[in-house]
Amino acid sequence: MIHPEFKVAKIGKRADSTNPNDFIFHSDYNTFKIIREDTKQITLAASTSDQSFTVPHNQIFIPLITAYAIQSGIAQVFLPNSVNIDSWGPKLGWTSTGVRFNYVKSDATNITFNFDNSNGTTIVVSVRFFVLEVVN
Amino acid sequence: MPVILDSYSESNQDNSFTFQTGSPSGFGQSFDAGGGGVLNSASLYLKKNGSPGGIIRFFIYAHTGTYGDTGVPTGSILATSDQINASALSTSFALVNLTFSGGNKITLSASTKYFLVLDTASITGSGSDSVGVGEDASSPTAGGNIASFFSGAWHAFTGSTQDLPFYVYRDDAVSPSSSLSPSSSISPSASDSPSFSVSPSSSGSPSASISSSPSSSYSPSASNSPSSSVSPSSSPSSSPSPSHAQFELGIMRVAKDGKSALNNPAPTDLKFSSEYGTLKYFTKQAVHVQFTADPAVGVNSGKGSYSHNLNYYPYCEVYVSVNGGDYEYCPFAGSGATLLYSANVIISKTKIDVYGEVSGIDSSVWTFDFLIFVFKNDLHLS
Repeated sequence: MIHPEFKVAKIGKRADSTNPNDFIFHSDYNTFKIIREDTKQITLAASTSDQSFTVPHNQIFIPLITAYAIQSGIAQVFLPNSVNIDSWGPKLGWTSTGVRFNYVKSDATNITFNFDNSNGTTIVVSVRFFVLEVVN
Repeated sequence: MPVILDSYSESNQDNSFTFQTGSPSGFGQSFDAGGGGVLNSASLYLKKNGSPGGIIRFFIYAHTGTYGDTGVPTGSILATSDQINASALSTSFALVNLTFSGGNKITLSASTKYFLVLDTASITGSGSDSVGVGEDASSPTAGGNIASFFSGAWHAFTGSTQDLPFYVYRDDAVSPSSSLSPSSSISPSASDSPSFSVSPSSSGSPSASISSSPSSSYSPSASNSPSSSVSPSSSPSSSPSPSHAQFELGIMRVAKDGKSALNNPAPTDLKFSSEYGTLKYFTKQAVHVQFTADPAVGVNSGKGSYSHNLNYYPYCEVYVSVNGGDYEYCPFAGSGATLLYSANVIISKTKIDVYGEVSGIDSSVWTFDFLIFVFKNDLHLS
């Protein structure tokens, strides 16, 4: 039985290699397709934890989502399950800006971003999210 | 399935404009045609208030001015969409998609700006009868800007303080002159599908061997087709040199086993499709962080960095092994009987900073071994 393949080898490697790490692309292996990417701007309420914001992902399946957040006026990007670091010292550890990106999740309809904001003022964050492969 | 050329999600909508008899006779949002293509359809976020009359249809115009600030439509209408009655709109905001048919299926040029315009002159109503158009009025981030036609001229909403949610789609059609013919589609489920590979020689020049029948031919792409280079370079992130062979293909798809690459497959049926972005691997870097915890100090921590120098925020994935344990996705936190430990990562435009931190009663040496995978994909955050 014919097993058709489409392979692109890395420089110095051969397309008839059996090591998947020798390839830039190999049709035997799925690629993570970026089905959609977009930016969501969120205004975090002051002194409030567990704030959720949703975006419809417009897919017929539950997708894998990755997301990155940036706080207005601060030039660094932070990931889910972490705080935005304001300063750091070897004996003090990191000090947070008061904003924590708790998690990103997806269900059959929406992507949900969840934040804490311990500041006494509203904070604007932009979240860049990627709709990748199917989860279910 | 039509492919999005440009869009601004309706999830950003937080306000609206209303139109009725006597309103500005044109109202629209500029967009970027991206990779270009044959115009398929467009959507705006609309609703009806009360009982408006008239019709809903869209126009496409050429663009002039500074995109995202002073841009306005120019020239004659390039394309007119099919129409629906305004009375058919929902009373709640919904994306209204209108098709461009026949001679209105114009080809949008790649990397060219255009205007999607609602024909507000064809909307009638007074008092509480109107058509609502959703907008984002709180620091919107669409690339274009709004323009409105009144007093005989187009006027831009400068400063990009408001944007309209919209979608513009191109055809997904694969023309015989610009793509793989059906006889040469790559589908592991087809018994007579071609099998071929591209393998660079030791000199760096790729060689291509096609082991199937002559039906697997590749013709140059048309202007609306993405190019697919299969020439590897020494760095996966750099552009191929002119000396490497390049293949110009139309839409290129590789289907999963048992699936077909033809007939508008869902992305979940494909291993690869040139219609979707991919993560472009750049580099993997190991960063070792080590420090000795001092029980007299509440928190002990260490920091490491990798300088990517890409001058933008790159997509990255980070894993960390604490004290030689299993690698876990970073950021993360763990705990022992008397202490808490955690790892964090911060991305800047030139480097990735990684942190390890321990708090509690402990005096041992702690190691945080980070693996940082950096991709060339720009997060487009600022």
